[in-house]
Amino acid sequence: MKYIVELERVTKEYDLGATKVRALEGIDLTFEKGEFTVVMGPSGSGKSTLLNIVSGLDRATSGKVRVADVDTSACSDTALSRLRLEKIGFVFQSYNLIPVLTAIENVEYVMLLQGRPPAERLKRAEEMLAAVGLDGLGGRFPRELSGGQQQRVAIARAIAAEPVLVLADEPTANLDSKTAGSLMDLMETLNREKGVTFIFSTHDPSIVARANRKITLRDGQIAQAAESMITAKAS
Amino acid sequence: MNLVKLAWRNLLRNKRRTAITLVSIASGCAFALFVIALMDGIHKKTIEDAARMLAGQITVEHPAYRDAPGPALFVPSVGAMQAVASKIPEIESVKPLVAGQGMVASAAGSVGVAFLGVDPAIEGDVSPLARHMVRGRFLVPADADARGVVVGTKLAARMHVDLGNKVVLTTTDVHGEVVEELLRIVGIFSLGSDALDGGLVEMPLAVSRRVIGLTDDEATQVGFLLGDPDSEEQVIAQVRAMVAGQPVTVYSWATLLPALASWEASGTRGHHVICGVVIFLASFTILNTILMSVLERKREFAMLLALGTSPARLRAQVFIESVLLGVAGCAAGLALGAAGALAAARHGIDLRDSVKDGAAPTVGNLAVSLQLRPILTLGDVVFVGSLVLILTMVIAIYPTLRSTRIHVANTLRAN
Repeated sequence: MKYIVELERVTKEYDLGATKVRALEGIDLTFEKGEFTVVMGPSGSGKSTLLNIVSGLDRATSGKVRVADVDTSACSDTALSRLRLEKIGFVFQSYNLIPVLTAIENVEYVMLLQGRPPAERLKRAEEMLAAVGLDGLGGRFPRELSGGQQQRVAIARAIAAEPVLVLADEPTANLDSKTAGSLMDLMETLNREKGVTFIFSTHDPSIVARANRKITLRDGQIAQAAESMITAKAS
Repeated sequence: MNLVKLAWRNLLRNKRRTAITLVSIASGCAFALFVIALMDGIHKKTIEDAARMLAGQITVEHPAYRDAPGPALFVPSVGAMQAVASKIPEIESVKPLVAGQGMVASAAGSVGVAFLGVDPAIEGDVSPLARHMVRGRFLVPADADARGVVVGTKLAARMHVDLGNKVVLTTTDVHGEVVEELLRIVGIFSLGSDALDGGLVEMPLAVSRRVIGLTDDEATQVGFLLGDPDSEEQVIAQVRAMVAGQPVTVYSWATLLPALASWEASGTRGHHVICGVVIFLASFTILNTILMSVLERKREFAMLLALGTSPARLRAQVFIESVLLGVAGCAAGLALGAAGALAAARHGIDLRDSVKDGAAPTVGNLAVSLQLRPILTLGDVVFVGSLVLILTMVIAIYPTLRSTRIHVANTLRAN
C-alpha cells in the first residue's frame, strides 16, 4: 500500500433546494504513510468537507476515494463505520469527549468497540494518557478537565486504537497558544516515532509551520501545494 | 464499561429530565395498581358478603329447584352431607337453608316477602346480615322456640311494626297447602338494598322447616362457605363427588347470582380500560421526554458514530436507557401503589356516610360494599408492571430509531 489516502476527481455538491453549492471540485490528491499534512484555506474553501469525505462521514458526489486500500465510494454505512473504527482516529475542534465517561474510559472507548480485552484496553489507555501528560487524571470526567486537558484526552483516544490515519479538524482552535504548542509537539512526536499519518485542517500558522506538506484549498479546488512531499496535482 | 453502565450514567446526567420521566411512569403504574386492587376489593367483598348471607360460594339444590322454586323440591340427607363436608378443610362452614316466598301481615296490612330459614348458631358468625342490625338483635338459637325473626327497616316501616311486634307469615308447604305462622320481630336490619330491606324475613331454620313441613334432615338449599374463595374450583369437584348419586345438583355462586357474576366480569374489563387510559396518558410524557433526550443529543450521537460506533450499538444504548427508566419507574410505581393499597386495606375507606339514607348501589338486589378494602394480588402487580414496562419499551422504539437517523458530518458541522 503506497498511499494511505487516494482521491481521484472527487467532487462534492450540496443541494440547497433552488441552488447547488459545489464544495469540492475535481480533487486529485494522495497521502503517503507518515505524512504530517496541513490543509489550509479560508472558511468555505472545502477543508472540512475534504476531511469528512476522507473519513467516510460524508460521501463524494462523484469521483473515487480509497482509504487504507478500501474503496469508500462503494462502502455501506456499516462498512464505513468499521473502517473508521479500525483505521482512522479523529481529533475534533471541540474535543467531543463522551461526557458521561471518565478520561480513561473515553480513551478506552474506541478499543472497546474494537473488542479488545478489558485488561489490554486499560493498560493501553493508561499508557496513552501518560503519553499526553495526563498521568493520574484518568478518573476525571471531561467537565473536570480544562480545554487543553480535554484535547489531550481526545488525542489519546484518537491514537490509542493505533489508527493508520489521524484526521484533526482545527484541533487547536479553542486552545491558548501555549497549550496548542505542547499538543502539536505531542502529535509531531507520534508522527515521527510511531509513523502515524496526520492530516490537519487549520487556519493556525503555528500548525502550518510544523507541517511537512501544505495544501491550500480555495473554492473547492487545490490552489497551492508545496513542500517536499507534494503529490497533489490541481485539477 | 458496558452498555448498561453507559446508559445509567446518561440517565443520571440529566437528573431533572430523568426524574420527570420516572415520576410519570411511577405515578401511572401506582395509580393503575391501586385502582385495580380497590376494584378487586369491592368485587370480592360484595360477592363474599352475598355468598355468606345467601347460599355460599357453592350450593346444592334439587335439580328442578332453579326453574320452579318450591318447598317440595328439597335436598334430603343434609346431616350426612354436613358430616362429609366437615372433612374437607377448604370448607369453612355448611349452611342448610330453607328459602320460600310468602306474605306477612300486620295490623297495617300485608306485604309479599321472601323468607329465609337459617341456623342462628352458624349464621351469627358468618352472615353480614348479623352485622347490619340497626335495632334489636340478630337471631339466636332460642328464637327457634320463640319464633323470633328479623326484618329489614323498609319492611318494618311499610308494615308499621317494631321490635316485639307480631306478624303472620302465610305460605305453602311441601304438600301445596296454605299454612300460617305467627312470628315475633326481634331485630331490624339495614343492608342498604331496597329489595332486601323491604322484602326479606330471616328466621330460625327450625321455624322455617316446621312451617313448610320439612324434617330436620331436609333443606331447600345447602350452602358451602369457603375459607379461601379462590379454592372454589377445587372444592366444587369434591362436593360433586360427595353428592354423586343423590337427586341434587351442585352450583357455583356465579350461576345462582348471575347479575353479580356479570358485574365482576365487566369490572375486570373495566380494570383493563382504566389501566389503559391511565397508562396511555402517562405514555405521552414518557415518549416526550425520551424523544427530547434523543433530539438534544444529536451531536453526541453523531460523534459516537464518527468514532466508529455501529448504529446498532447506538440504538441499543438508547433503548437500554429507556428500559432502565421503565424498570426503575415500574419498581417505584409498584412500590408506591402497593403501599397505598396495603395501607387502605388495613385502615379501610368508609364511604357509608357518603350515600343518602344508607342506600348503597346494588347489583342483583345486593348492596355493593361501601367499606372499601383493596385486595392486592401478585397477579395484579405482575400485570401492571409488565404492561407499563412493555409499553415503555414500545414507546422507546421510535426515539431509538431516530437516534441514528442523522447525517453525521452535517450534525458535527452544524454545531
